Amino acid sequence: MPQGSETAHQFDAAERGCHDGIARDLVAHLAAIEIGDRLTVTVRDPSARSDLPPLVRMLGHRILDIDEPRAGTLVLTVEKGR
Amino acid sequence: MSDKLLFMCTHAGDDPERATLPFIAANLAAISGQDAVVLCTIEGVWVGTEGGTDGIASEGMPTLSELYADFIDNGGQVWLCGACTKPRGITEDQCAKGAQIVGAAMVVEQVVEGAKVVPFA
Repeated sequence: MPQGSETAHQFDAAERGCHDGIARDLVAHLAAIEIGDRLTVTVRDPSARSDLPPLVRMLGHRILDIDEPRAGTLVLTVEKGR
Repeated sequence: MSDKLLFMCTHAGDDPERATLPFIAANLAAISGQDAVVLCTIEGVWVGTEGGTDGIASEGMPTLSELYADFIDNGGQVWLCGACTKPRGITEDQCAKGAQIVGAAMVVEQVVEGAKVVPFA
């Protein structure tokens, strides 16, 4: 489990894919939290599963954990970096 | 840093020549030791499905089935645009060997890190 006592937030993108506004909404979720806070992002669409890690990296945030609790579901724990 | 070569493929059975040519070039890249990816978009996503290359052949070129198999055996990867697979009802379990559904951010990151894009008509 990632360490730290910063506030945790959730973003469940459900079945939405890379073209369904996930990037826009991820940016909005991260904009609404403080630097150092954690956002747990859950995605199920295969294109979104491939997109989340590079998107987080390109936006300048840190991936603390990547989990696949069940087939087809990716859960990323992201720490807001800037 | 990305050394990938991304070969664009936008056609399948709708245009056998345009479907086949990217795989000829990508296979050459893979054989020569390059990190080669065929990025399939629009109708090209069908190429990365089970049976998707069946019957696709252009005069004077190897069949797409042969090329696809060679390409994968030579270490190549096939990426299927998620925005294109979804409206066509293509799901992960329909992906052929070596193919995976990806999103735009994955492609963008590779390009930002230096991957070269090889477009075909």
